[in-house]
Amino acid sequence: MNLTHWSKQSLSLLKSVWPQLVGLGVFLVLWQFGAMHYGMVVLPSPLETWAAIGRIATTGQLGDALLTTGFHIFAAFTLAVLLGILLGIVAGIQSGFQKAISPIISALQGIPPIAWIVLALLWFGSGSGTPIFTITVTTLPIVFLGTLESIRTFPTPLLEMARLFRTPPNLLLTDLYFPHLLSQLFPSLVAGLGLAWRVAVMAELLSSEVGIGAELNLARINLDTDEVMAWIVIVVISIWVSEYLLLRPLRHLLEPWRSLPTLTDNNQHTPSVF
Amino acid sequence: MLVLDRIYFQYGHNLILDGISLTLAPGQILCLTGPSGCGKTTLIRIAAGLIQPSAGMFNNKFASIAYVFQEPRLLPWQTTQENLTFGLKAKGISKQERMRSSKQLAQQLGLEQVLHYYPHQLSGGMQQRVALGRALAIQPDLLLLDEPFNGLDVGRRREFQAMLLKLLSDRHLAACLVSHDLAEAVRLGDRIIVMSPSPSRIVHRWQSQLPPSARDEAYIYREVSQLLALPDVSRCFGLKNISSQSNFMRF
Repeated sequence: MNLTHWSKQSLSLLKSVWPQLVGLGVFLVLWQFGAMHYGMVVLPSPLETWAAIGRIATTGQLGDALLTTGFHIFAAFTLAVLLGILLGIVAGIQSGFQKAISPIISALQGIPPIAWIVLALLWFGSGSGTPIFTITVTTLPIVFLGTLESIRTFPTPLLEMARLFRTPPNLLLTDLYFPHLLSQLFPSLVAGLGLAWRVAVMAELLSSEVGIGAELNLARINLDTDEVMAWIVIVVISIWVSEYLLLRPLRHLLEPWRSLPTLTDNNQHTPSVF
Repeated sequence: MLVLDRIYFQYGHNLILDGISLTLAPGQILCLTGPSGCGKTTLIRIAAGLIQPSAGMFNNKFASIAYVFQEPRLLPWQTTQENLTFGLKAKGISKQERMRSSKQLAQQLGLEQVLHYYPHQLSGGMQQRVALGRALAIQPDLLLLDEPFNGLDVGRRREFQAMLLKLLSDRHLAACLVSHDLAEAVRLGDRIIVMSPSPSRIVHRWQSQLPPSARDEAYIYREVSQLLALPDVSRCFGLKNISSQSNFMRF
């Protein structure tokens, strides 16, 4: 009975992900054809890339690079989230501050990441400072605008309800504003984290001697195309992992109310609201 | 005691309330009725202190007022238990005391099974019961209800009405209920005030001869048809061909 339940579950999982599997399969087949046509130096095949990943992993390069880049992203993104939320809240409450800071934020948004890297190189040199600074300034506007939007769209009916109960300000913050902010901010965090990875690799490639970007640069210099491909695949997988195994479970933990099925759903397994 | 004396309310250039006076004594149920958009909600919001009248005297002697909105307005991220006791939390009442209170309320409102559910997991009727429980939790002496039965089917509506009447009489609570449904007003109200379309005036005051528990369907139908037979009342609900209609009903 347990077994049939289990197989039923895996069957329903298979049913829900098969379009993704087909998409991925078609992509791999096209990649394979391309590799056969252009040869290994231009486009290594999926299997050769896989072998290169194995090679990188066994030498310990992979672990070191992941740790370094992971540290850069963690430090910078945490800083961007804290600053972005803080500024966003103040701007959401104080329209004067919002007007004052808006041009600065749009300027930050308009500057290409590569320009920041050039500046940061001059300021911080080739250590961890450059990637951390660049990631922070490029993801800050996303978090800031997400926070501002969330405060602006706060449902006034709930606020009115709270006012009738003479809710004190600290409770408004913990029971109304913060949970609402959390629920609205998530898409911005996902977008910000994706950008953080891309900017991190770029900043490391141009400025640093450690991290995934630096390894990518080294592989390019040595004309190890299979290793270049391997690092690209590693970045893609890392973005997936950080979104699906870190950010989403974190949301699940912080917002249990989102993913629970409704009473009327009964046995239907509706996809969660992510 | 709640006293509104010649209340005017103007919104932009539109006069919504044109001198409304009413009183509400402790333990009494007052129904405000009238056509949609006649300013009933505006009036009850003034009574709640949510908006200020443009002119007129407003005197509230009730110590504690609670409000039930047309929509449940529950916090989506809180369980039934937390939503029920939100008002108590705002008052700074301890967690232990809140737990005890929520259990008691859940029992009275039939919510024991769903104390740990989130609002989106509940049906509309259940959500509205939680909203009622949240209002009662702070032990008000006046309960203001703005069409709280909207969106419920007839069965859930009756169920909710019966529950409300029992809770009100058990607690000897005064209530002011907005409803556009005359039958509902006659079923629940000790007194009814019929308001005209805006600029709104009071066109009729009705007083029940029977307590709510003694009002059967026959009584309600009789009273509603007598009310609608009054030219002032039928006109304000926009029933134009009242004579031909009553002819039709006679056949």
